[in-house]
Amino acid sequence: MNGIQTSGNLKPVSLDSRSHRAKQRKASGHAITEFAVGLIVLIAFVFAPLFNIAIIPIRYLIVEGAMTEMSHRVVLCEKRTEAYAMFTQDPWFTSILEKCSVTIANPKLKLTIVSKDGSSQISVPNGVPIPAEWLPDGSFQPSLYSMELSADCSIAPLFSSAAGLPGFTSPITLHLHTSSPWENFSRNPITSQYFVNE
Amino acid sequence: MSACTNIRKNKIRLNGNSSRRMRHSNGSVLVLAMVVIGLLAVSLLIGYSYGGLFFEHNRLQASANEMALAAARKLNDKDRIGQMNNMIARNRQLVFSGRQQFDECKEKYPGLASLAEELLDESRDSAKTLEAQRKQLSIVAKKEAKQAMEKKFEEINKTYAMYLPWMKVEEPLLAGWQCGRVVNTESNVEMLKNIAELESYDLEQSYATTAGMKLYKHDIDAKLPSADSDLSFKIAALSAPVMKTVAPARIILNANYDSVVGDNLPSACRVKVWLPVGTGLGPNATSKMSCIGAASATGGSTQQ
Repeated sequence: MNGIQTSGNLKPVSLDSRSHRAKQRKASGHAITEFAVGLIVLIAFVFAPLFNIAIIPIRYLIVEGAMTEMSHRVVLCEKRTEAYAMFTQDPWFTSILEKCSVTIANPKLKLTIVSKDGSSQISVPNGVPIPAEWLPDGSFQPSLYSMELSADCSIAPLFSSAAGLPGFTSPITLHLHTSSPWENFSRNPITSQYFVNE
Repeated sequence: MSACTNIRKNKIRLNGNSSRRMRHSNGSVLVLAMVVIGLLAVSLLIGYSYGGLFFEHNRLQASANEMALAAARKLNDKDRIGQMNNMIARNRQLVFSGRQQFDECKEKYPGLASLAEELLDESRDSAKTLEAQRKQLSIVAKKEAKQAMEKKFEEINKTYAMYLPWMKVEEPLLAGWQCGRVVNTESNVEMLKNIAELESYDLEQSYATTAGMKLYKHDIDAKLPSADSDLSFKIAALSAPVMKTVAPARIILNANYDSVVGDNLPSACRVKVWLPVGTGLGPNATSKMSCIGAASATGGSTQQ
């Protein structure tokens, strides 16, 4: 069809010749092969690691938000013992972080009191009463009572294994802490004690 | 020569077709690469949007709390609810005492009975007036609390609108508000101890708590016995001053909020706000974030 019959020393040329078809295949085949390889390289070495790492700040934001929310919830309790009970028993905090592949270790909740001039402060752990001088009417004239929540948070990347480079192939562990000011400064009419000290 | 020319022309034509095909193939690579990049970018943006939504939820919760606190502060402005509770309790004592004196005069000093009756009627009229004032106070306190809450809402809602390519946050909506009380909080009035008969009657009727400060219980209608049982002495819930410590207004857990019984005076507020959020990219999916904030009013002041 595309062949041209010639005379003399010119040989007949078929435009559908094998060599030409091979060249055509080679030209387009190259592009597909290059694209496939390029795409694999791009996804495996650029986008997958990028995506893998990019999930960490998202999870960090969620952890930070969840910890702030939790510290805010505990300071709204009537008594300090209720705050500790809520912290240990409320499943919301751990369940939301589990869903985000974040593991919490060493969660701690303590009351921090800062004196009026800011020069001194005291931390009161669970089960320990506040010393008299640090009570709202005490000699230190404390001005700021806050519940401080801290925990070691292991934030996993998208593709995570037990060992490897933290942040790339294994979880990155961060020590996070948030605090919220205590709300209830009234006294219990039954015991006459400050609710913050009960 | 003409054959050679034809071949060259055909070759040129073929080369032209081939290069077009190659261009076409290269173009596909570019398009596919762009699609892949686009998909990855969109998925990343969606991921960050979720982080943003969490932040917005915390912000909305803080706003709901602020609004509830503004309303609750207004409820017991200048200790009006605390004073009303105290006046009702004292007026109740006055009526009880007036009745005792009148009965005594009728029996022992009939000449003074009319005077004692006049005093009793006066105290009974005061009780009726107080009850009317209490109802009025309930309306005024709720109205002012609502105004304070709406004012705070107006301040807050202007700061919300946020239009990002992947997330659209609109202005919050006030879904509703309520007035109630804080659970496990009795009234701010200590049981009056000057009249032994009244004291024993109140304990018998379980009008007051028995542990610690003997406070009148919340949301009671402390009816008097016999002839004065037609009068209402409604005492509302309010944090009592303990050792001169007045409970400041504060944000409370939603679980610690409860509604008041009947038409009793409120001492806490609860606010519900909605925040419409939607996707700004692709299909227009919209939803509403919901937050509830609750706050307790300032406690009753120490009586002079």
